[in-house]
Amino acid sequence: MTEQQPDWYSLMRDAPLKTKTFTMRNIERIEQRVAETRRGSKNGMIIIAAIAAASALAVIITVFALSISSAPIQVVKSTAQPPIASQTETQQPADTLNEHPYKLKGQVGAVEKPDFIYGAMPPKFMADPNQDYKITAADGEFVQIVPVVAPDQAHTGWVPRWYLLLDSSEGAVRIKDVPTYEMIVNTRVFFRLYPDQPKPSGFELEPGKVVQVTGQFEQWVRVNIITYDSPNNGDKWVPKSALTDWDPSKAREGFLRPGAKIYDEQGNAIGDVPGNNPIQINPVYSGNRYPMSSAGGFSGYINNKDFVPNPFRYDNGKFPKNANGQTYGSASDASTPETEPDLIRAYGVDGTVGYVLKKDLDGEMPKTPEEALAMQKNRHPGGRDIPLYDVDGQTVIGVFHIDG
Amino acid sequence: MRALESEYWKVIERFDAEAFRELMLTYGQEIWNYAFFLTKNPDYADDITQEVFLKVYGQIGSFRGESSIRTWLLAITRNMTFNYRRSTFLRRVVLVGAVSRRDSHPSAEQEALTNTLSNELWEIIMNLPVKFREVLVLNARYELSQREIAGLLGLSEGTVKSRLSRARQKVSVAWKEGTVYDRATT
Repeated sequence: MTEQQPDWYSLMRDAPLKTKTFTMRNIERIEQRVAETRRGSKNGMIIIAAIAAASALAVIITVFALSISSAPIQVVKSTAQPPIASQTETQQPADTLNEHPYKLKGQVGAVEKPDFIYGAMPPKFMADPNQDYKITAADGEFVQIVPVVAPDQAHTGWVPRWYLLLDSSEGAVRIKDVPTYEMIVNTRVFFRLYPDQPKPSGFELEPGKVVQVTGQFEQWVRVNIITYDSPNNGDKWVPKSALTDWDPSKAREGFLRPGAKIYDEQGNAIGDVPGNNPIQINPVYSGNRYPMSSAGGFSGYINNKDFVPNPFRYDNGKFPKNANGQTYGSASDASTPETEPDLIRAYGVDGTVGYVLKKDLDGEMPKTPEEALAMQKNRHPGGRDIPLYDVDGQTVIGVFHIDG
Repeated sequence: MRALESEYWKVIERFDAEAFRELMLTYGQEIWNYAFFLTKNPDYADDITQEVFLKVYGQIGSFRGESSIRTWLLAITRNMTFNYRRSTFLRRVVLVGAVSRRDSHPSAEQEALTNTLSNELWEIIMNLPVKFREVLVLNARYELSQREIAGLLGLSEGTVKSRLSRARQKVSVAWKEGTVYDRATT
């Protein structure tokens, strides 16, 4: 439920200051600095920019203006923009749609509105590939689905039309969920919301980006990625041919080695990566330091030896270890589920503070849709109890309840 | 609304002068405002804004299209503000003898700040501790969702939600009472 905004909120859209403070004078001063630095400043940032431009690897963002004559290299979609549809259709009322129920090619997040698929909003619910769905509306490349059995508003949402399983025969190709594994982007590729999406809705992944494969459909794989500027909740599909097997020497994303320093352009140490978040590096430059950046616009330089590849699996030393070598701590200190500690701090049913095993909390992950369905059916509506341990991960001190 | 707002971003090899100026015209004031929200100092905001656009001009492959250009600029501004605080440049420009202290009378600096703000609400907000001020401004003024704010600040969504709730509470209390909230150091 959206929290109601206070009545004074709208006043914050007024300019905070009485007078305009960023004027043409500011703009001209900046332009003058740019001109000066282009004339041969020793500023390291400008030298880096010049090197990058000369090597034809420079990719600098600009606002598109009608008068710009430079040929665009790529079209990058902004999350603020409406979704790209290969064919624009107006929303069709339900009675003009095929009433045939459909299953889905795989599990997919259904959203409140088609726009949400591209934005920062999480799915409204996860549509079950083994349930029958009715189409209640269509809009471009999206359809609104509702379960045939027990339809309700909570399970009404939009998914890409592609997910409809049009061929319900035994041999129909479905998405295969796989135990996660990492690969590396080998050739530049735009990710898509679904395989064969005519115009990719995602942004471009560059060589060296680490992807975590979670599913496969013909020659496509569904991946998780690390984002640094803004979360992206839609599915991401890339052709497997654009990826190469995991090779730490090719990875450009990972973590900073615990205790390592980050430096500014002048070589001064500037502190830790905020939140111990994953980092990305640019290994183009020679020398013993990489330029790096992290979430929140944080950037600097690190020593080559302090880069630890793979942003999905590395124990970055944030959590202490017990005598058995298990990490323990609070899940809220983890930047992703994959970096949660082995023992997660929790309160037992009687308020006892202890730890639960992450693997107990996550439970067994289904390996097939049939398995998932069976697990869902067998799930007890009252939830389940798991042991609450002391920090040693062995002494049971209570019970932790997981709701159904 | 400028035509630029409705266009998709395109990536080109070089920033030409016209495009760079258009970027500054479109976003310059908001970047300045954000730097001011974080530092409460118009001189620092001037310098930080300049550094942000210089960095944007020279940045290499940094905009990945994950977010809107505005969110990306806000992220750079935030980072630049932290670096700025650590830099020797900051130490050079701080006036000798300017000591930040809590007392019952507003300092000359505080009075100058108050006189430049456009309404009493901004006075309340600018006196919040920065960690509350920032999430409130990003939500109320820049209309970022809690999830977007979490991504921008590198925080968990729960932390953002908690800070936003507390920020709103503090402002609501002060706004109703018609008083300036207790001053807090940044």
